[in-house]
Amino acid sequence: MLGKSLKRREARVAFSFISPVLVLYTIFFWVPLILIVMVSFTKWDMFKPMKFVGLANYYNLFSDPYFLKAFLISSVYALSSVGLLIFFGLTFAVLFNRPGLIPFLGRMLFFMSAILPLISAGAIWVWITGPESYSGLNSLMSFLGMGRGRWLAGSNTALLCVIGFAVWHGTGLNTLMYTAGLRGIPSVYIDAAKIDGASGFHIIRYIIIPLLRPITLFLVVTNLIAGFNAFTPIWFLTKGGPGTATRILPTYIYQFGFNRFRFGFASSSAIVLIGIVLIFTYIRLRKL
Amino acid sequence: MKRRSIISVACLVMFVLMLFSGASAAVKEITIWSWGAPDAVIVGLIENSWPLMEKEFGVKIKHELFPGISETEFVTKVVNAVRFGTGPDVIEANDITLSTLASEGFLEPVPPSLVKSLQEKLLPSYKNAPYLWDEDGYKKPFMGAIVRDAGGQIVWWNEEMYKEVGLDRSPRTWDEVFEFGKKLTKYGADGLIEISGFFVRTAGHGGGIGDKFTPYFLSAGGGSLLKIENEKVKANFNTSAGIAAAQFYLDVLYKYNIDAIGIPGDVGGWEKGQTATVSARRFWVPLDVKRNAPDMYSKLRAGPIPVAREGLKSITTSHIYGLTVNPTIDSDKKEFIWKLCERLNQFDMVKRRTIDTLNWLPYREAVTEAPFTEELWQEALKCSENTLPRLEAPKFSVVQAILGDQLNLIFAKEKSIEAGLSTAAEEISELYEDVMLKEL
Repeated sequence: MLGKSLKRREARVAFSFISPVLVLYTIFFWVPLILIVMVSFTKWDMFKPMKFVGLANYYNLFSDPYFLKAFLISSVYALSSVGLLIFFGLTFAVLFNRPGLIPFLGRMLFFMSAILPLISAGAIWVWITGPESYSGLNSLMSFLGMGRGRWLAGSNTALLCVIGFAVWHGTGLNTLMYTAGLRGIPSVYIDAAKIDGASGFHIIRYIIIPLLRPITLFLVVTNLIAGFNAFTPIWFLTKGGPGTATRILPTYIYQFGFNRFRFGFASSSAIVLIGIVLIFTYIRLRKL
Repeated sequence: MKRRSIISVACLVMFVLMLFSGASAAVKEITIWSWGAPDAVIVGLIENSWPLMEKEFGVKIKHELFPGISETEFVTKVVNAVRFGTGPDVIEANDITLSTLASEGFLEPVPPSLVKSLQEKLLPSYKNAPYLWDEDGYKKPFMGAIVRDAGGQIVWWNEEMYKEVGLDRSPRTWDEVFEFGKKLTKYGADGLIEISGFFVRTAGHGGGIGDKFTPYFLSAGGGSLLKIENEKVKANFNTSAGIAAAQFYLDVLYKYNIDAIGIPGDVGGWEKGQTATVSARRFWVPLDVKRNAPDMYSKLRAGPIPVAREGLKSITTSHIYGLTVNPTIDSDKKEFIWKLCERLNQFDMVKRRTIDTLNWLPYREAVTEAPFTEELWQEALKCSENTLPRLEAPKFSVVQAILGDQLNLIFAKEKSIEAGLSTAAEEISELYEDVMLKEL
């Protein structure tokens, strides 16, 4: 009896501690989410009253070839940037995970891009990959005696450039996470493998990569979520262009919502995006 | 005793009345909202005009800028803030914000006395620029803002680059744009453009593409954005004039290769010598060039907007920026603000801002002194003599964004001209389903 009332009191105290966060979370997450779901079944320009249109927005969405294209571009952007981030993150972590000045400087160098504000990093990337003859990449191409490219302004190269930006800006953080993981691996495993005659490649393949699996999974899922949600870098670098070459789902939603005031339609696209992100979130929660 | 009580009550009532009238008359603070990064005029207002006004009127002026959000986000924010009573006292707005405020019934007409004095001050070609429709359509247009800047879009060209290829004036027709452009455009050894002969806005934010296309080439080609049909607003750009204007862009990009998507343009590109010719809508171009690229100032020349073919009149569409009062604030404060605006537009104040910012050109009395008497300014004024008001329709920003998004696809060759324009037209007709207008 006494135990039960103590538990109840503890629960009350605990609830009073978390209630401010719960209130804020409800106001800034659950209420907007519910509103987005409701708005997705309406026609609404934010000025006039909403008009219920049933599933019309979803029907129009899935019959819009540009939505399907945006979904495809989002997938290419998210999957390829994740693959490259994992590869470079692990490679640099292994390369620089040793004592000495050069590995330290290497770690610093790769982490620098991650601590740069997104907009500053974006401005640097525009300078590197712009179509002008004096851009970093074109200057290098000219120096090497090769033809210049239109890079960010080219319909075939713009997506590669924005993926490149995601990789350049994100590699530092991934390297840092892997470095922390590497330092958690007991050295006895590696020493024992060396005594047994394992090569560097075998140590990485059969000891390091399996032991870093939880970190890899965490990075894959969080990078995928970030990739599908990416808006600021794309908007800053290309505004989704040229044409629709880099128009991913968040820019598609933004264009319909905040440029054309079709909030019902934009909300239905946002629901689809939330669905995609939820799948990855579920995987992360299940596996961790 | 009784008489003393009556006198006491009367005194008390008078005191309360005085207190209340005093409270409403003494405006302590005025808030102003503006969209975008501060340009020369905003800086001029904040640094020069507002301190003078504060001193003269005994009021604190709080000017808030919103540079980090898109124009449409700002418009939404302003309209909803005004609707829910949390808006500023004054809105420093351009035609897009003004047209949206008007279409929601939130635009306060400028008082008649102020309209009269403004009309006397404005240059003839800008007299109609600040007029909007009323809530009942276009039957009785009214002045919706006190103009602080209005500039027709014209061509700015680099005299030195033109001279190098034997040209002494900017192109007057689209055929000349191609002809001159071929001479002016410089290509690298790999065939890519180094210097564009004639910049056209083909990429970036959809609203920005539509914003340049409509006044610059659609109007110049004899077309118009909208029309009235059976008291309904309909798109009017999916016509032969609209198709020709879009084709002109495609020819610039692909047939004559005198500009390319992504080539830096606008005034920034011109200042860096990356484009020989740009179109820009406001008279701050000379100031901008003087400040950011002083070496280029002597090369700057102004020209009219080229027309589709000989015989058509070159026209410009005036963009306006102005101050308007939040209609939901109390009437005493409103009256106070209009008085302040009136003072702001008196000659000594206008002159001060004009000289500081080179930007109060629509005012007749301000352009009679240097530097506006210089040849460049006179050219610019002459080129924008035929100015049409740009406050064309309700929800104007959305119309521009819809059209711009489709033009973006057309210019990137992802859609045909006909398909793109008809998609935009359908969407705009749907947008105007519940808007009734009498005449444009």
